[in-house]
Formats: sequence, C-alpha cells, structure tokens
Amino acid sequence: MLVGFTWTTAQAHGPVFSPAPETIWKGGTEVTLGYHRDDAGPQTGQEAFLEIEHGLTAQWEIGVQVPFVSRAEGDLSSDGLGDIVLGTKYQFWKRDLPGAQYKAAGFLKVKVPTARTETVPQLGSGSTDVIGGLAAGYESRRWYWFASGVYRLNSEGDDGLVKGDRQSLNLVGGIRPFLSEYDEPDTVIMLELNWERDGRDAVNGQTLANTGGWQLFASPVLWWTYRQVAVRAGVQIPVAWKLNGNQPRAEYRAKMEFVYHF
Amino acid sequence: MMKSVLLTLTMLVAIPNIGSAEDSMHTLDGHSLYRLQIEGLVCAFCAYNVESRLHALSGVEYVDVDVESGRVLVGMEPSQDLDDAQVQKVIKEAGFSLVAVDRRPMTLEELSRR
Repeated sequence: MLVGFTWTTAQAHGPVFSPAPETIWKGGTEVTLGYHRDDAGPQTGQEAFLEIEHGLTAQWEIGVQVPFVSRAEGDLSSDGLGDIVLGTKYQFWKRDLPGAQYKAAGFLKVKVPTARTETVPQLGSGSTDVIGGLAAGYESRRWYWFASGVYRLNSEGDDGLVKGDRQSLNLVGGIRPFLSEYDEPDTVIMLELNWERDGRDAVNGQTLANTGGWQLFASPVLWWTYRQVAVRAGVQIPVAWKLNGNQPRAEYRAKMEFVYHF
Repeated sequence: MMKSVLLTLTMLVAIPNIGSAEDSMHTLDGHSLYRLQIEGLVCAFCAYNVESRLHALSGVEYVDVDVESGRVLVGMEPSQDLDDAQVQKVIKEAGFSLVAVDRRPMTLEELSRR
C-alpha cells in the first residue's frame, strides 16, 4: 500500500515522521529541502520538496510545502509537481523550565490538487484534503518525548475516487547522548512509533475491497545540528500491519531533510 | 574561537579599570555587561535564535550563550544600556522565558568562567 507522503511539518527539533509542537520564533523563517522515498511492493514513490515556514508570533506559524514527485509502478512511471500543502500551527501551551520545555500545539493543513492526475501512475489525488491534529512534547538537555494524533479528511478526486480518511497516532522518545556546547555540533537520536489507519477508498459510494487497513512503523531517527543548520534523517520500518484484501504493504520509507534558519 | 578572542580582548581592556571606582564595578572600560537567565533553552538551535535576536538590538556588542546553564552574557557598546522591557520582549518572542537580568558587578573571575 503506497499511501502517499507524510505531511509532517519540518521542524529542527521535531520528529521526522510525525508532527511536533515546535513553532519558529516571531519573524523567523525556516527553509527545508527534503527527500522522501516510499517503497511498497511494485510501487515506488520519491519526493523532493521545498518547505518554508514563517513565525508570525512565537506561538503561531504559517508554512507552505512544494513537492516534486516521481512515481513508478512496474514499467510505468511519471513525475512532476506534486500537491502543494499550505499549513498553520498554533502553540497553545508552553512551560519553560531550566534546561527544559513542555509544549503543545494544534495544526491545520490543506493539500491542494496541483499535481497532474492524468498520468499513470497518478502524481496526485486530484482532491482537496484537510489534515488536522494535536502534538505535545518535552525537550530537555538530555531527554525528549513527543506524542501526536492526526486526522486526514480526504475529499473526492477528479475521477470520483474518495480515498479513505487516515488517522495516525505517534509516540517518540529521544536522547542527546553527548551534551554539547553552543559552538559544537549537536546530535540527538530518537525512536518513533507511528501507527496509521486508512479507511477504505470509495467510488460512487461503493467501497473498494483492496484498500484501507493499518500499519505500525518503528522509525529510528537522527538529528544533527550546528547553530542554525540541521540535518535530519530517518527510516520507517513496518513492524505490524493488517491491510484489507490484497495490497502491497510498505517495505520501508526513508526521509532526509536539510534545514536552515534565517 | 570567536568567544575566546572576545573574552581575551575584553579582559585585556578591562584589567586597568577593574576596581578603580565603585561606580565602574559593573562596567569594564565603559562596556556594560549583563547576565540574563533564560528558561526553556535546550540546544544550540535554540541558542542561535536567542543570540541572533539579541545581536539585532541596538547597542549590543557581543552575546555569549551558555546552553547548559541557560545563562546569556550580553556585552554592550560603550555608554549603551540594555533596556529591560526590550530584552524581555525579545526573549519572549524567541520562545523562551527570561527569569532574571543580572546587573551585579561582574568580576574577571566570573568572566573567565564563561
């Protein structure tokens, strides 16, 4: 089941495959160049994307993600502009402690159908979809944890297909193995647990048998930061799944991001 | 490296003036020094944010962030002072909490510990 790319907002402090409560500071801009690969049986998807986020206040940010997508299925392949995602996030709670921070945020994103759908395989769904969720987390000099829940509401695409809505729950733990000084490179390792459930797709009100189901991923992640530069990478490995009917499950997903703060 | 150079230069300039008069104890050669205590500071990425925003304030000559302790040393240009309300606003907008602004006389020993 090639389920499309994640819509996680890139955050230097956040997990790679799930959302974080982090927001960029007032007037700050975060630029991310990323690469994402998704392999599922005969289907392969690759995505290079540019994401820009801007802090309107210390708690409220807006962002846009512009992907360039390449998809392959058997001998067929297509590539081009993917579906652009517009988003906003508001951090509604924060508690600062010496060398630590608790925080929680809500976010809302809209995926607009900018990708071509007449190609085989399709580059986009042709639908305008909405994704919303909550994320909370704790960061300290040594330890990290994050938790989040996300709901993705899909609408009808150009061909009358309504993809099933998706829910996901994520738990993340992390550690900074070496306490670095400000002017030293900083490394954090994390393990994410990402559970995803997709509803069945439907055409003209009829559900499709070989769609929907759930998958659980274990995802080791590495961050490396130096002052305003960050490199983040991770791999999602499926550890449990139950997919409806006959459909290929994810073999792995990989993601790498280069982040710069202005 | 920059931190060490700045510290050395500051100390060299400061040595003849330390202790010369009571009202100059909190300044080194006319350069006001402030020590800020910040909560929520976790990593170098946070520190860059704080450093760059403080640097953008008028009259700030240098900024030195200690991530481990959450302490930030701000050195001002001669005859310049750090405005309390302004620094409070800057730290809040950076996403952290300013819990103290220390204007006590800063000794060479304190400086050398940084």
